[in-house]
Amino acid sequence: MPGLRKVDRLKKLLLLLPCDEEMEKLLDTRSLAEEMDDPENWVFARSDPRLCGPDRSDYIADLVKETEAQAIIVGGPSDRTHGSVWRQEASFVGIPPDRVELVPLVQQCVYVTDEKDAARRRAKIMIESALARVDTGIDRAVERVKAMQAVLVIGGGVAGMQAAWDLADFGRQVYLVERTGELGGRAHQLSRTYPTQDCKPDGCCPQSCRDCQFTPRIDLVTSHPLIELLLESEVKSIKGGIGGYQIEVHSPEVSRLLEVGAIVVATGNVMFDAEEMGELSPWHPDVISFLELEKLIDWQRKEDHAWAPLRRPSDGKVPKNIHFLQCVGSRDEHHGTIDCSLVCCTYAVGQAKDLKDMLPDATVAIHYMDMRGPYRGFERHYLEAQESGVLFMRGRVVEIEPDNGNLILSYEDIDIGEPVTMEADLVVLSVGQLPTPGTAELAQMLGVPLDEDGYIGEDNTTYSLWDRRGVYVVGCAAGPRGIRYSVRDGREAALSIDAVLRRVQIELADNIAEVDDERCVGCGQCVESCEYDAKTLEERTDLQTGRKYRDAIVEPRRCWGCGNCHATCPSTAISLSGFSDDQLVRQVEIASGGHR
Amino acid sequence: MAIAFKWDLAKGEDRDEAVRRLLREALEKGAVDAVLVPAEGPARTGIVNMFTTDPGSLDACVPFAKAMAQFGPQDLVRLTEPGGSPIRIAALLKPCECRAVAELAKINQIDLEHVILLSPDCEGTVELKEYSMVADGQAVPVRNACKICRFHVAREPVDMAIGTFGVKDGLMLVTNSDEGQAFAEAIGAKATELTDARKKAVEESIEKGEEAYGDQEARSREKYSDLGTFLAELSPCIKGMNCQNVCPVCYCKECLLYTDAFNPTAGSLADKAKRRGTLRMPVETVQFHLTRMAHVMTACVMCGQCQSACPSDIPLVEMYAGINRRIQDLFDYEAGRSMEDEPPFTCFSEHENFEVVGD
Amino acid sequence: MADSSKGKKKKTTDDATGGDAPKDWNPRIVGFLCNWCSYTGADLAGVSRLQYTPEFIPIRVMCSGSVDVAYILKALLEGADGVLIGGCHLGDCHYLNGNYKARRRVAVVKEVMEGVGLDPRRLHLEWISASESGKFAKTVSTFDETLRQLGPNPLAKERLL
Repeated sequence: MPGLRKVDRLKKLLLLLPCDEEMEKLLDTRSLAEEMDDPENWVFARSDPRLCGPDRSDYIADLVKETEAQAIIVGGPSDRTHGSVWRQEASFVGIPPDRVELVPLVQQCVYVTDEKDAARRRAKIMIESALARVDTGIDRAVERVKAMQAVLVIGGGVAGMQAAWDLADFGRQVYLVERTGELGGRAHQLSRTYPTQDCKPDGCCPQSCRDCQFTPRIDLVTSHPLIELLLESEVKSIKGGIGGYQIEVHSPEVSRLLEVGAIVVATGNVMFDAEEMGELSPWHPDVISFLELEKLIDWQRKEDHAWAPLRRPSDGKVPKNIHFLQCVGSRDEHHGTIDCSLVCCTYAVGQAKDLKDMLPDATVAIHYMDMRGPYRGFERHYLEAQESGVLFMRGRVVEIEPDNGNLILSYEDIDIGEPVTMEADLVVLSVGQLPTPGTAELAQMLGVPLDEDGYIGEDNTTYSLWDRRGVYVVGCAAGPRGIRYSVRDGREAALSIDAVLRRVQIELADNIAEVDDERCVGCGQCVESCEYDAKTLEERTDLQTGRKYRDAIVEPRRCWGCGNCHATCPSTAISLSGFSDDQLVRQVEIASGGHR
Repeated sequence: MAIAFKWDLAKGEDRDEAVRRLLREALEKGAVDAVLVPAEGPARTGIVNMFTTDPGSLDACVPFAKAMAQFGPQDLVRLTEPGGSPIRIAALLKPCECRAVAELAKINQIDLEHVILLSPDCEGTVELKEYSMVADGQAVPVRNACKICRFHVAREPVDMAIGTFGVKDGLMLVTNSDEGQAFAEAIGAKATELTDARKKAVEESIEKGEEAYGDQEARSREKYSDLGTFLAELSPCIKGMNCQNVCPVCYCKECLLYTDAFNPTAGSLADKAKRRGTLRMPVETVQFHLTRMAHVMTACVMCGQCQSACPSDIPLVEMYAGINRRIQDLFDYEAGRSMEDEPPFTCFSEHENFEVVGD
Repeated sequence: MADSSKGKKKKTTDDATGGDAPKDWNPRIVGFLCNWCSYTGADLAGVSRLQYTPEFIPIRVMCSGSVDVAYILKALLEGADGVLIGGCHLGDCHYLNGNYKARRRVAVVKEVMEGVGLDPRRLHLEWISASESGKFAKTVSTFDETLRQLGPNPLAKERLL
């Protein structure tokens, strides 16, 4: 392996942290350090209260200077909780991340037994196996890759637009790929957004909601010189990884290859299609979704430039009996999704109140399960709707039957506890939200997992590695959320991307698979077993003999460091830094019976 | 879909000669550019593989040889390596070798694009060193692996089986692929029906093989139910790695047991000796055998070359018979059965037909 | 397969040495724990003060699917009485499906073990999530109990392997 040197033995600084008082009662780290201190064999063990205090870094720097340590083994916290802390600490004194090993004495050793002797013996075995593991590591330089500075944004809704506009504003080239022919996404199909901050058109704001100053404006995005807009376009393939993605985009009549450093996924989500719930007569022209209602309201506003009476689709009559059905295809085990869509209560209340304002004589009712409005201003909004005469009825409507030009709703009123039927002449369905079709394919191309609900998993602790993947999921592509949160997502992604790409050279994390060309036979089993398409087979020519051969190569930017390739390769030609055969075998030897 | 062709014996010809004529035709008519076939070595004391483009040199070829040459599949690895000129090769190998070829092709070690696999029905082979006795006409028992073979007749993905079982006169060429069919037509073989006698003979050979294998499997499991037996049989292992070298599906450049991880430095050997008390030198004999079993068993075709090559006569076939089919059955896999089956360690099924969690 | 069911009736592998276990013997268990689930579950077990045998030695690996068959065999040859592999629950693998691949490898190693006369119960695969500290402690304890019944690993006393 070019650039790699096998390590014979290292000077190791063993730090046993006396920071957990309760643990000290069971395991005296000071005496253990004295026992394990073995300068002759290059083990320098210390246990000192300074390791727990504010001067820790200075103390460690002194120790490293004194012992010339090349590796640090920390006895105390677990890698899962404190690995990053100690790797950073080590980096301050020039020790690379794969030369840091944590022995979880607190979490996995002293408390498992009441017998102090047994705990101490176990601690020693765990520490010795860690020492052995570090000793047999490979001297490996941190992998650095060059960062392309352009960014791809997939999806031109408000979240994608915001990300694109911010990134362009930072001076980056942005490619904004949108599947449809126009920008704006769902937010721009809405006539108004709720809760309003008293900014309705008869208030002081001169803008219509879709051009709200709080959401990115289409004309600002389209006119920005650094944003290249690719409408009616789709991403066909994604290769590479952070800092160096190659993206194939198909636009009408042209296919392009874009090179970018990071990707913003802003593909939104889709509305549940009530078609499958025949009992609600979704085919009936007067059973409409909230988005269709928005179109009706919008049309009215445009035609008359005033609060003209709304007319229902079937016969153009002014409705007198309008019923909103909440949670259609959401919070439902049988249809749509089990999840709450977060925004429907808010807009249904807003639309109902607006309708009540438009048609004061009409009955406007909302059939709901719980009122959920996790937004600032919602409660006031809700109270105002109640005061304006909107009826709130708790219970799920189970059937809608057309009857003589009208609709009969059957449902059980939970507050009364009885089945009820009720007449309506217009029904509005607040439908659930589902992942955009094609999300799974996109995730596959990106090499990122889906959550159990079919959305691309949000960036949380489990997926913290994403920061080095250069994939940022924003807006409803990561699950339902309100407009302002989607916009904020876009802004956050732009900031994060800018911070990462600005470094020009990106340091990839440790644990990346590496191929030993001398051992690789090009069988391709690692390629098959890699879930992230991080490996390919490449035909090469031996420069000395001219002989051709096949070898696996790793695209380090796509490697997640799982090590499945290593276990699949019978030749052990591929291994994970920090988890090499040498290291694991030595560790296993000690763990298996070292202290019989 | 198997399509059969007839290949009659010419006057005075035996079956070996008929196949030699077939191969000559293939070379002369340009159906292939070269052949890889078993041939008698000097003084008829052994069987070796012969690679030739010359129809005239096929006289030494022994298609139905009662012994198996070494390294047939490995030869194809070399002959089809990247960058080679794409000559078309007809390789005549035993059914077990062909199954190994399929395993190697799945993992990109052999490129079958320009290879026609031919395989004569096999009645088993004797140890190579006993070939001269067979050549002299003596009756010599076949190798252990052959006694329990379940695949005397080649099936897919072999392009053409050269059938003798259930075939009274001449040979029945049973093709399993378009390439095989084209090859048969190119050499002028006449299409015929697969006879009931042939089908029956093949079925019988499989049944007999299954029975023999089943008996051996049961015996092996009984025998090796005591760890002591296994360890005792490995005592004479010289760790000469012959078993690994001749194994057609053991394809690594260098065994992992040769890496530093399993070849400790002097210092760590001393550490280890201190910990364990004693060490068998060279180290890792049992580790080698167990790891090899785990690595190879999914692809193992039970050709028995390993045991034939062992100078210490370690009964590897017996050892493997206890686990070979059981392991492949776990994954509904059969080494060499089909090019479509993925090697078991590169894939998985969400609903496996075994349960190993929590027991 | 008639013959394999025949084999099942009669227990084919029994390396039990329980009778001649030394008095102070406690089963040594080597545990390969996946970073994301089982290792975290083990952390939580300690924090929750759950107890299990101190002869259990954890080894952190990134994924249960990265555990090489050679390591499992190595542990047994070095005298470990049992090997535990802990992974994420199926469907929850941090790396999508490494645990499915681990399951295949374990199945093969168990067959190999049985085929040479080593009790396959000495190898134990379990799905333990990051929150299942109780399951972790219980798994180790139950495994310890099984190993006590099986007795010391017969390979441990062999000096020349």
